[in-house]
Amino acid sequence: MKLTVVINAAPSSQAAWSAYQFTRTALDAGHEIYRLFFYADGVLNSNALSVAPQGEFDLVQAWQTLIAEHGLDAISCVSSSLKRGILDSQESARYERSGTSLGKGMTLSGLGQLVDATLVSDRVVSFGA
Amino acid sequence: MDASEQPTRKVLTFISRHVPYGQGWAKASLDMVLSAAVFDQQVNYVFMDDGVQQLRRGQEPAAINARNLSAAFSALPLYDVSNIFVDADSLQRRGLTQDQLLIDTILCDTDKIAELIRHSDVVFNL
Amino acid sequence: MSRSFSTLHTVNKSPFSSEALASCLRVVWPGDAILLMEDGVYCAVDASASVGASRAEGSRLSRARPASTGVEITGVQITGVRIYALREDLQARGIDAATLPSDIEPVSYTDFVKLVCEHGRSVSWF
Repeated sequence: MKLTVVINAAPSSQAAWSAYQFTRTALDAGHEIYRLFFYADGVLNSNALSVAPQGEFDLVQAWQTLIAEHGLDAISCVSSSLKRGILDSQESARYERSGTSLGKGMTLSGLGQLVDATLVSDRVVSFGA
Repeated sequence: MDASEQPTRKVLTFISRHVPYGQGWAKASLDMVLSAAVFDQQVNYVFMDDGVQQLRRGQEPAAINARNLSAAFSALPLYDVSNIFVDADSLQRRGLTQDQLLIDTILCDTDKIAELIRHSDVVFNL
Repeated sequence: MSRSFSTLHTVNKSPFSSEALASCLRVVWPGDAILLMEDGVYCAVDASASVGASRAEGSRLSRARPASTGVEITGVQITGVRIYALREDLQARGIDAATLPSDIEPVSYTDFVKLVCEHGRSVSWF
């Protein structure tokens, strides 16, 4: 099946890990992940500048690895992201900020990408906290 | 499925269950609803639990430097969003009545919400 | 693909801290399934029954569903609804799956994915 996973929870909440675990398991079971959509506090999963405490699972890094391994389409909602300091080089230049933070393999885009995902996907699963 | 066979319209139900200020879920839900409407989806907007507080008339969030969503709620008809439901139990438990709400809504019971869910392609609950 | 009318509800909050389960139980429909995950697995523990029961008191659901042949969760009787609890979350919280009420079934993430596919849509209560 074609699945889209919506992540509304920050990596500090277990819900974000659940979303990651669900995505991995779905891929292992042979399903297609049409899109990962990070929304609200969920965009903090896209913050490549975060550093996990030593000995703790680095969820932000794990997402990037999963996205790279499977060539997943991963969208970080642009308005949620800007508000939380998740910037790519274009937005960083536009708002004259000192750096970029968007994780590798992730793209800033709007809610239209979520609507598109609902049209194309067989199932949409949300994780919130 | 061939790309040309993709549906262009689905039934999307948004359940908004959180208070208007502090957490951002109210605005997050509203933004989703507006996007879905802009992309011409069939939208149901359901307020239950603390979500009904979003519709309370007379809010002045400028007092706490928070964004006022009232104008956006009032603009929903312009986006052709008219299926706006309010859970009667949630209202009653908070001492609210429908005439204290800032927009026209359809008062409903939880059987109706269950029915809306059953007839939806996708449900967003935040 | 024809639209399936049954729904998977996921609940991820303790019944002591959130209305998530109580609200889910108000709109759940026969044929639906509820997956307890994260702190939602605390809903599966028997000792929470008394608190949950008082919270759900007077809800339409407890009146409408006959109490004779259902699953009981946090003191609320429901019929025709399967209840699952995510095994990893039980284990993490020191809840022995063997001590759960017999009609609450421990499941894996693989089962979670299957449940999502088998139901027409999923609704996340948090």
